Amino acid sequence: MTRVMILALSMAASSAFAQHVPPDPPQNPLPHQSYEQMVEMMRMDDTERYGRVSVDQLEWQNADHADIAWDVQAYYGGDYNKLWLKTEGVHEQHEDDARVEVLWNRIIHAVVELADRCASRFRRRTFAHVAGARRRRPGAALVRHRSRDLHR
Amino acid sequence: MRTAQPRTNLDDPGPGLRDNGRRVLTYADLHTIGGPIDRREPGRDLVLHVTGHMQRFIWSFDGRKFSEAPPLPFTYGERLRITLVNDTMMTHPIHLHGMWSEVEDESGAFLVRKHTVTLHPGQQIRYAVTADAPGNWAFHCHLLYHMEAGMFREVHVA
Repeated sequence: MTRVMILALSMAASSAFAQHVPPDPPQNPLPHQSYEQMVEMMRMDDTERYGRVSVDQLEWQNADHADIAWDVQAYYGGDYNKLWLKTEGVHEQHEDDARVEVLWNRIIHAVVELADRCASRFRRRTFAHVAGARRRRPGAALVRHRSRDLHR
Repeated sequence: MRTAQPRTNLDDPGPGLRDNGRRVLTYADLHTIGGPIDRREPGRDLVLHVTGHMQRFIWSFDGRKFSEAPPLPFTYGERLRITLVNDTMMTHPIHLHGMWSEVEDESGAFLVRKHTVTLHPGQQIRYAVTADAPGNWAFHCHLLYHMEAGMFREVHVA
């Protein structure tokens, strides 16, 4: 009985595929939609801006006096242009240094990125401006321009 | 990055499943009974590269995200062949809405009828489509993070 049913089912399946009937035209055809309308309906936007904060180090120690160390990066932007913030520093008994960098990161080729960087080092009161391009692979810098102002 | 010499064989289980001591089923093991729904030879070829940038999480067809690409026009009633070449280092299940994807084997003969066609890194797959459903349809990677990042096209059948 089971064998007969399986045979009947497989015959029905093969004859249904052999005589494929195209689907009926859509009952409610979609009118042409702009990208904005699609984004609204599908909630799917590849031009959306997004950000990330990554904390590599965040330490605080309350011994005789407070020791602090941090290393934090954050970015915000789209796929091609990003504003990047990097800050790291230590505040200890024998060492006291902090640095903040603001970068504009732009992709100009699949493996080449442009970075325009303003960096400030608080303790030494320096300010540097670096523009450069780097290759993602194999990882060597291509071009670099650097200017530095020292406000002593 | 372009895959200069994409592999076309369908009997490779893909990265992570090769030579693991088990028998892994592949597309070469699938055969649809009854042949293709449409026996016409495809009238044209549409080649699409599956592209992406891992670090920036940009995903696209032919290097263009959905927001940067016009819809793909299909003529109502035509039989066409889609060739997908995976230039990325990930596997992508590609889904064409509204119409069947009839995967061909290496020799160009009909093999299996599918909704979603999975492409391994560096692989090329060809399949025939009969545009028998008028309207606007989605064509996209079914990893939804990739779809939302731009690996999506509209297909207009008219």
